Amino acid sequence: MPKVAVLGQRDAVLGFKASGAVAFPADNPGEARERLSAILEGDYAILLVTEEIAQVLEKDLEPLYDMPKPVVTILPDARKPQGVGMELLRRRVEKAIGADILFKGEE
Amino acid sequence: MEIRANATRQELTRLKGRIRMAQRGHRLLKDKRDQLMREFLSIVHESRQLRQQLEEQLGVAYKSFSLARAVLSPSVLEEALMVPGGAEEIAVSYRHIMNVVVPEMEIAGQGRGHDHVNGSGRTGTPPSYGLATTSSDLDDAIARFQGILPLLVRLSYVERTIHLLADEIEKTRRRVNALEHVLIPELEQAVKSVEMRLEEMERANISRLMRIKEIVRAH
Repeated sequence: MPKVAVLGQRDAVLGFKASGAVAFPADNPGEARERLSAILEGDYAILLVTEEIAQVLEKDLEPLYDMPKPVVTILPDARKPQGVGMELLRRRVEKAIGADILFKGEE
Repeated sequence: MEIRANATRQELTRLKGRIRMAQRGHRLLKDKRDQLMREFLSIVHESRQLRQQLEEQLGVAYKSFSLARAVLSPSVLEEALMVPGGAEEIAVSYRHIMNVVVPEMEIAGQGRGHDHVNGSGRTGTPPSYGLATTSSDLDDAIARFQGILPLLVRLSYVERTIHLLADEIEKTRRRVNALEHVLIPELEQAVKSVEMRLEEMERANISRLMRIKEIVRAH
């Protein structure tokens, strides 16, 4: 059965490792790309990516959103969430509705 | 693109049939779009709440984890977490929303260690590391991370659903617009021009008949 993979900086993924996800620590973009291809070869239903890595690998992650597996979810950053995940959500709402009606006037 | 049609009655009936068909399709697609939109908005709302919840809980979890890290030496920590506690397995099922197949997931339990680690390794079960060398901060941090996992799984499939619905809504909206602003007006235009040419032919015919009648009467 598929599992959960976590891709991110070493200190960010360690905690998830203990919680039942498979950790893929990556401290630089090259490493992250390598880990990503390893994840894609394995059987993972969910891929959790930290904000920092998600920004670096934006192009690599793009095609994954249309694939059935794995489902990519962006984790908020440990220290200061930058709202990368929210931004993605906002973009999708805009795409579907044609206007940003949900988040207007809140930021 | 203009629709070319021969000015015949048969063609006229055919065009009118096409208009009816297009209007029916338009109505159906519009209903589909509205329903998708309703689903979409409620699920976006849910996803936002989940994400806010996640951000809060994750902040707490990271905090207690760094507390544990501060107390323990890095090597002990690495060692404690090196033992795989058995990765959770995810059961994926599918659901249809207005003909869009969306995934649903839940934690199905652990693959390895399900029977070995005292029944299961879920929240509240004995950790897979030595208690002697680690502090209670670590237990606390790990319990928090374990509590977050179900939330993450839920958020993952909710966000995927949003993505799929957004695609479908966009597609449906394009179709509705294409029917409403392109196909239907063009068909109506074609019907009008065919009707006009038929009437014109009718008039030409009448005046021809009148002229012939006149000639015949003059004899």
